[in-house]
Amino acid sequence: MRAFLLFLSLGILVSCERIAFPKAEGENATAVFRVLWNTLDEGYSFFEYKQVNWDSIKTVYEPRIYDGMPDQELFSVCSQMLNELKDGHVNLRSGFDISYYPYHLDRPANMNKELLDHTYWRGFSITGPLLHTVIDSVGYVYYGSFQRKISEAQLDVVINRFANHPGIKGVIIDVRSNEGGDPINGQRILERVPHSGRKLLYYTKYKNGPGHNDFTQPQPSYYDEKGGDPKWPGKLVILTNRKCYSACNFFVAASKQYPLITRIGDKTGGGGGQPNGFELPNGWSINFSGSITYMPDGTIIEHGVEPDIHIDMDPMDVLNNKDTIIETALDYIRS
Amino acid sequence: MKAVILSFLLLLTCQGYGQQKLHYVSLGTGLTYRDFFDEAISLLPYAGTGVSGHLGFRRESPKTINAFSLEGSSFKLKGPHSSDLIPMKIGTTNLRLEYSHLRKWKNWKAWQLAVGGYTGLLTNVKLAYQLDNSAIVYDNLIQLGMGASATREMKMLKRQVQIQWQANLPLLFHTMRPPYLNRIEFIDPESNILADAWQAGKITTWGKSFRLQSILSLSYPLKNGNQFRLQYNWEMYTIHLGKRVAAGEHGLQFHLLFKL
Repeated sequence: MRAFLLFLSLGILVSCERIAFPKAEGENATAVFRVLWNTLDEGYSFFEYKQVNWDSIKTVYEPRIYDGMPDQELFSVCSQMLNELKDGHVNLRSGFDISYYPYHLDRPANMNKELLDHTYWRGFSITGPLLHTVIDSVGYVYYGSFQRKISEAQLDVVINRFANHPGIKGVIIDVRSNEGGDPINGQRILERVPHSGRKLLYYTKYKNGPGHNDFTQPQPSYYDEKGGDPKWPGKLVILTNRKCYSACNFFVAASKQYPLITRIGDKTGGGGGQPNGFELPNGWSINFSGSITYMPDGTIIEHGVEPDIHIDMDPMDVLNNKDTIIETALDYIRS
Repeated sequence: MKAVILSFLLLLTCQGYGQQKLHYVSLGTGLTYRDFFDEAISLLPYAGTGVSGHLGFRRESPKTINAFSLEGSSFKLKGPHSSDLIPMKIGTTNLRLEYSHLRKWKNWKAWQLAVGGYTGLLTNVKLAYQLDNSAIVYDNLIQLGMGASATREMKMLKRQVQIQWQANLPLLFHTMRPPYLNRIEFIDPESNILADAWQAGKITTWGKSFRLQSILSLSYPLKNGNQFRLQYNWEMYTIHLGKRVAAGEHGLQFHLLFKL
């Protein structure tokens, strides 16, 4: 028994891993602000592109931070500082609130769900996240969030419905007010574009160090046409508005490489950086853009993707229960 | 270089077969406690409890002790400010594949001392959901080093029990950590996280990577030569490749050893 106790003691003696732990960061307001500022300084990807002087922003906001300040006040000051970046992918999450830059409010909404419900979505079908119907020989799909996964089987159902509809002339894919999610859903839609082969979509360079210009080499991304599965019939139109953001923005940018697709509506809202995250010493977390994506012609997509046919909703059309953007797309496909 | 080291590890793992005497297969389970600090996630330590499982093979001859084990554990860890409003939660899964080949060296008082080589694979995958695309963080260590044990037998509850303490100390590592900002290229459909991680792996030694493992066990004989084993594992490791990592784990396991 003495030997066992001796060994137990030995086991406990070596069980002091905490001595190897670095000293924990303080959790007071000044420490939280310092870690927040440093995290962005070393991780945010668009300082140069947006011509933001992060050091001078610090001199504006740091004097407003003091230890013991209420959490709500600290959150408010930090949020104001983050909104200087004008980036919907920069969010501070405190538990009681999430900071958010309203990237879409500089443009008209260009979408009215009540109107869609009353005029265009009557008799629709829903397959997974896809609402679909046929409007006068034109297929129509509404996809409201890339957070909702599209399966290949669901796409088969929707595409077959359109392909088997007599006299179908084309399809409208409406992604207005889709604020993003998983880009793989956009990939699934675009892989069903006929005769598209292998497409170079865009290049991305990722932050790989703390300097504002520390990036990996640009890495190309490709989609391949899905062999054998049903393909979108006829002309293809994607409807966009300013609230089309993040994964939706990537989807629209990628679609630019497909000659069969035309984009109609407003410029997308942007969100061209992959959001990364870190935790602050008080348990709040921050996410921020950590990469830069640009199209093969060099256009950076952080501030959105221009449509081929730029059109806003006409208030007179709205009064007459018409969606100007859908009507333009219908005319384009029928022409 | 990597290929040479991995071939050497494989060779070490395979040697020693062909001898005879006692062979045991062990199955076990237990509870475990883990704490860690990972600068790629947070500047605060996380801690929590989990469950573990064990599958092992042990062979003892008059001259050598060979032990192979595969262990897995799963945890839900919390940070110091975790609440209903602030998640500060991390799910982690550990996998350890280990082999030691010890040669009995000499007796010291009632203790049988043995020393030899050790090789192992440690994979720790952490999921910090609150960190968006930086949520997946991993530590992967392929290790080569030395091991030592001290064993003695004594009478307990009318049976001859065996007490053993073994320590493993890797000297050379192949260390894999996530890239800057824990980047995973979700927007690239052809991205391969495993290939990227392997390519970014580094051969390291103390200073960049360190690990120490202590295994304290008490084996109680059952009928037919089988054994019941109570085992306390402790290990700690540190990695310093840009972002610092320090982790410790305490596990209490119960094993059944089946004599072959």
